[in-house]
Amino acid sequence: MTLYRQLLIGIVAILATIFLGSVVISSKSAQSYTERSVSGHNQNYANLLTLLLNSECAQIECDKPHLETWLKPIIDQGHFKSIKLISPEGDSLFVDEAPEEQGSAPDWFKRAFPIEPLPGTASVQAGWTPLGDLSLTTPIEGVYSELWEGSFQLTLLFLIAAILTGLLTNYALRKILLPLDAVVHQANALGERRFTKTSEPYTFEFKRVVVAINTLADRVKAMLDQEADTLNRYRQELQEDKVTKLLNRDHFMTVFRSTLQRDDSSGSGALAILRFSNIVGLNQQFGYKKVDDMLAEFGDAVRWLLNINGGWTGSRLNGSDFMVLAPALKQRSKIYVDSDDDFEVIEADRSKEPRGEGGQAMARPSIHVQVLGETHLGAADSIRITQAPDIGDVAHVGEGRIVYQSDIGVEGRTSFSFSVTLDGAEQTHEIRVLMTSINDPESVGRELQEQAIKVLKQHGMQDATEVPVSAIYFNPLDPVGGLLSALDGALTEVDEAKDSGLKIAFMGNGDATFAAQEMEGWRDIFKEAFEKKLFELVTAPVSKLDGNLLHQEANLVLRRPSELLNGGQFLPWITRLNMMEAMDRVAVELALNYIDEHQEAISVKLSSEVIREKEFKVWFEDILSNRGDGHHPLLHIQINEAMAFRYLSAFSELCATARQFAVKTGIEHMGHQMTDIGRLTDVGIDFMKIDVFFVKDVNTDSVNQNLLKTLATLAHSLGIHAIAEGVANQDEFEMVDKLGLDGASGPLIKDKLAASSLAANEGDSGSEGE
Amino acid sequence: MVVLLLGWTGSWATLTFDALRNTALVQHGETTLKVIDQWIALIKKIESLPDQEKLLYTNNFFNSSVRWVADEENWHESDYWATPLETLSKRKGDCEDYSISKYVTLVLAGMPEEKLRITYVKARITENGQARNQAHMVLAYYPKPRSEPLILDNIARDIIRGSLRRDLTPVFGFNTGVITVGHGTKPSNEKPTNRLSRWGDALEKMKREGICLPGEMCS
Repeated sequence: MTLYRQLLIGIVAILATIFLGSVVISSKSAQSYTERSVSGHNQNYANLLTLLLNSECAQIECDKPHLETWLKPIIDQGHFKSIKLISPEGDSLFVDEAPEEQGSAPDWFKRAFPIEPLPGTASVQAGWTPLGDLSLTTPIEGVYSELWEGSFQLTLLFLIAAILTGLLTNYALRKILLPLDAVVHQANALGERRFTKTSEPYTFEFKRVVVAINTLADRVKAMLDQEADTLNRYRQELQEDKVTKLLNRDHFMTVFRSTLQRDDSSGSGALAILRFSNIVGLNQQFGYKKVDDMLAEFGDAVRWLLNINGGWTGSRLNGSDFMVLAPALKQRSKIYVDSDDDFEVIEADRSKEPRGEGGQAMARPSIHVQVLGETHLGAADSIRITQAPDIGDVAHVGEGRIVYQSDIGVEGRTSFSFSVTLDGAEQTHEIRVLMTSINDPESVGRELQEQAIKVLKQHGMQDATEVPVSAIYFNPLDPVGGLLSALDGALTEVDEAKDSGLKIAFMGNGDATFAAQEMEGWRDIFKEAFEKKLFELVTAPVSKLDGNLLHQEANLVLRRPSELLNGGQFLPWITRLNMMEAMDRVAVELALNYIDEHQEAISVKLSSEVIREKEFKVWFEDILSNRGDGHHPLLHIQINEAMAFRYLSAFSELCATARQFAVKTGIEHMGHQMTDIGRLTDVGIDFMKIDVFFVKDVNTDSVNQNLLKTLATLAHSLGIHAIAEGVANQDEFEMVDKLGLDGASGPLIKDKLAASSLAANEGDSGSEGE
Repeated sequence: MVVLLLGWTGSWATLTFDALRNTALVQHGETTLKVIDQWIALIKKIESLPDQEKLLYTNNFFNSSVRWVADEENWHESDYWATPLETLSKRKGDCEDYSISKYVTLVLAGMPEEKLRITYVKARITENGQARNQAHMVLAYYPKPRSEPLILDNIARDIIRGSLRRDLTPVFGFNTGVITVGHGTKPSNEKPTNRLSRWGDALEKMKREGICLPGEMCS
């Protein structure tokens, strides 16, 4: 029985007791009072009658007829029930009883509250001689009726009062117990190892529970944060170049290889290399110390680039060579004002941009728009932002200049409005912003080179060295060696020209085709593909370490009449053409079909776009509730780590939606943002896939062993399965097992499961076609 | 039956006399206690005597030891019904005080209450050759239910038959029995207000002082 019901029953019982008790006590007291009062009246009548009779009988002989003529009219005309006169010998001298009418009181009431007044008695005497004892009673039915009606009204009154009190109590109870739901919700979340915080309820008892759980949540979070922080620092120290704080060569190469292994859109992008061609001469001319200072500053500049272009990775390969990896998914956004009005887009001046927390300039892509000419600058104060953009922030920074700052790595359109009062008339203007990603090798290389030249100038070293740059476009599964030698060749070519030039390297055919030229072609291809449903799923198994399948990881392929395109080939274009949401819908539908067909768990990779799209969430809820029984434990969804953390609250909402339909959620390519792991405490994901970067050669790399082990421990403390991505050989597999992870994916797992399924199917006519 | 009844009355009377003596001592002092002891001695003495002698002793005891005064002077009230203890402590009283005290004495000495009736009478008094009517109260004793009573009075100090008392006209007679007789089913429910109020008050007061008449509910 619920607490609410128990309390309500208790209160109703108390009310009923009070109510019944009151009625009974009141009726009893009325009964007793009435009884006494009627008895008194009876006695008065008896005394009066006796006095009269005594006086009569002292003079005249009171025989039976005389007494009858005397008493008969009294009982007939009066209000008596009975009058009796009994002689001392016991003879009846006069006995008469008047009939009594039935009153309104029911019999059970009379039995419950009997009124038995004493009859009035007195002794009649003729002179000194006793004549007999007089006894009389008065009618009682009328009294019963009064009492009954009184009690009835009282009952009614109490009933109304009780009902009102009941309603009031009901309301109060609901109000008091309301926070209980929140407490239960929080406790359930705790059971699922989601350490959510709840606002403290008003009710004291609940408050204590909530405060306790909140404290626990805080502690867990603090513990995870601290742990993650330590790990991150440890990792950085071992993997970074001391001077520039950029990754060292080994780790950069591991990142690069793991990037190429991804068969989604982040597996392609640009790679650029920069060389300080005369580092030896610099050292001789300025001394190591000064050159190191310069390089440290260049490191800062590169890291600033990496920051504003979320997802980029930078490295100092050796003393003079720097490399930047710019995967396509984490592209840098270029912003253009797209407006009918004549506003001047002016050069961005970072010093004029609004500061973030701690007074730091925010490393975000931005545009600066001059909305007033010099003649109208006086009207600058009247500029008001009337409608904020739905992505990014906008602010008027003075002097008629409006600054728009986008979110990092976002593509799409947004708009904002502002009003300005000119010559007494208010005008409203809309500015539409287009954010596109142009991530060609040339722009990446150019950015890098610009930073280097800037830093050199600051240190007065610009004439002492050249900074040749070469860059290359890469696709998934491209050979690392081929890419690097092509890049190296191009760089040598520029270097030999003794110029801070830039050369785009090529490897094989068509890789360097520029995006803009291909865009339209791809648009037609996708249009046809969506219409004719040409997308298909290919699966790669993810298994638990005991060999059982955890789920199939789904990747999309596009089947065209002439060829089969894998995700790495067409997904970058999906991103560029802003078709990610449509693509994700196709993926979810195909996965649901796959589940219907195979009854096997399958995990779909969702893009960053859908996390933020409200429409996708609605569609997602819709399809999940309409398919089958609305319960989809076999459907899993996974999202890239960088996107999950960037849009954490939206991701958290998506996870909550998924939980409603028993859909499992997870994060892939995990481990690069270790400091953020603490933020996962209240998201409630089911699995995390640790990036191949940390798994590769884990059997020999003690740093990664430590990281993996700690990650697994942290994951388990949050009730999350930890899975190693890209396990390539038995040694790695055994180490992963030893480190306490729960599952693995990669080529080895594929082979293992294929082998075991072959073994299982031995003797069958068919075989598994991959 | 008689023996049983007497025995019961006796033991019960003994018990309550202790309470009465205590009240007398605490409320009125040793002098009163002496008078009360004399009264108790009287009751014990006449318990076993025939009715006629009970009447005689009782009548004499009160007529000789209590002096008549008007209520106005005695109690500063126009009408006051005193208990035997009050009457004996003051050794003063008016007609109803005599009647009540004699009635109580006789009932405590084992006389059935049906035989006694305190009676309002109209008395014709001749004073200094002038005759006038006065409201008076006497105690009537009926040897048989319908017989002529003997009258115990404080004006005429001897016990005389009713018919010979030409100066008295009876108006209304009562005793504890007639007044308090209910149907007999619920005597406990009875409250003093149900009685003749002054008589009821006097009976209540007696209870508190430690005199409990047979048939009364005493705690």
